[in-house]
Amino acid sequence: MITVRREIELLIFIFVAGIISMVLLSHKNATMSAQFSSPKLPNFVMSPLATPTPTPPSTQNTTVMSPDGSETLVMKKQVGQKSTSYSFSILTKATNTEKSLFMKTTPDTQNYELPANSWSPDSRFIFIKETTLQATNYYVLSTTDDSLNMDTNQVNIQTYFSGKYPNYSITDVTGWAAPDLIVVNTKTDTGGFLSFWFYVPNKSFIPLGTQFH
Amino acid sequence: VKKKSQGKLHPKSTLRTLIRAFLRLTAVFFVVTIIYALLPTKHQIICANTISCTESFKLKIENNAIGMFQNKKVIPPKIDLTSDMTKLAVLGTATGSGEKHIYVDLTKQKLTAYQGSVLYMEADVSTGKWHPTPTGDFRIWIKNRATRMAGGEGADAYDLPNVPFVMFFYNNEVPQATGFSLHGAYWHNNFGHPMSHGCVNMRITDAEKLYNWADPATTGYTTYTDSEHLGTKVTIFGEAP
Repeated sequence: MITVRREIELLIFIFVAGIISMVLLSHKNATMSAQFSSPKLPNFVMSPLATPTPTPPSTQNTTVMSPDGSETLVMKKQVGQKSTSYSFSILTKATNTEKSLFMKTTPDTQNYELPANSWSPDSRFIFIKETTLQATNYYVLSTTDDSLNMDTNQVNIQTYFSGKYPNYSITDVTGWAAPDLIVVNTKTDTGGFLSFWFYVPNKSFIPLGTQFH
Repeated sequence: VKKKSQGKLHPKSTLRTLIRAFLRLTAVFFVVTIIYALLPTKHQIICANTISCTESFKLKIENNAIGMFQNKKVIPPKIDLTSDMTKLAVLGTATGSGEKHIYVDLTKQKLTAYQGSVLYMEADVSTGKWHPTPTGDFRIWIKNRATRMAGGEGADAYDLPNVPFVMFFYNNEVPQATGFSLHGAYWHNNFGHPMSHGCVNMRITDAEKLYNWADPATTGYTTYTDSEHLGTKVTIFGEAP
């Protein structure tokens, strides 16, 4: 009789303990999710006023400041009737001098862009994006007089990559993970994603465990 | 019959023993669950800079030190405090009226700073990749012209002297000791994409602009808030890609 009573007591204890632990756990989870939930935001933060897009003039200048603000990368684009001329240069603030990097005249179907993260953290390199009908290329250029590749001051990441990883294609080059490492995002033929670092001095690619998409 | 059953367990009593053991184990499980649920949750937020932690709250200028990030040596920018204070006096901080508020959108990896409803600045940032950036409403509690930050482990270890324009923020859930901050980053240039160990990384030029604008108004190389000089509100929201 005593054993049966004990078992009933034990069962009641388990039932009550179960309810208490469920309540406490759900309360704890609610507290934790509240800690990392999004706070209320005013309307102007969520939907800022759209700025009207101006009509592009025939000559456009795009600039990107170096990380320390001492230099500015300038891309001058002059649109002609059948071709477009680009010139890339670096403007040094302290001396107010301009150093030309390179110039190119291209057909209308080809264009260049200066990504916001163009400059390497130590300002020794820049990268630019070229879009053609066939491919998107990313060029790394030395801002000093050091040659990067066969006596030239530029390297096409796409050329090296397609030679080494024919089953992958570059989706984006986002910026610099370190002074000589560029983040390259790729996808495979089967739809998988993989990020690499392009190590500029060796022109080699380092596959990454973490995706940088 | 009695003799026969001696030394042998009756099937009914074996079953009863097993049920009892099971019930006792279940009871122990629930008791452990209750204890776990009652434990405080704050210990789960570790220090943003696991090695330097509270040391990072102090001003530290090391112009000849070498930094390390992603297993790479990085050279920190040199900091000249004398020219800094002159610059500050010239720049000033007044921009308009209304409360200052900094918003960090983790989804877009963008920072916006408003005074009232007037936009002061907008910048790409890099938030937590190896450790999440906490979301919520915070306030800046100390501004430091520069300090050293170290943490992570293995391939993700970092040791960075002269981290510039540091604005530490906190709230009740993420206390001051956890060391989360907005600051300039000279070791990478991948802004607009997660790249930090929990802090909000900014381009040095952007961090300087924000540092000179945000409250408390800079009075020296290290500026603390007090009851009369509150820090600017920082709201972090969204989810990092």
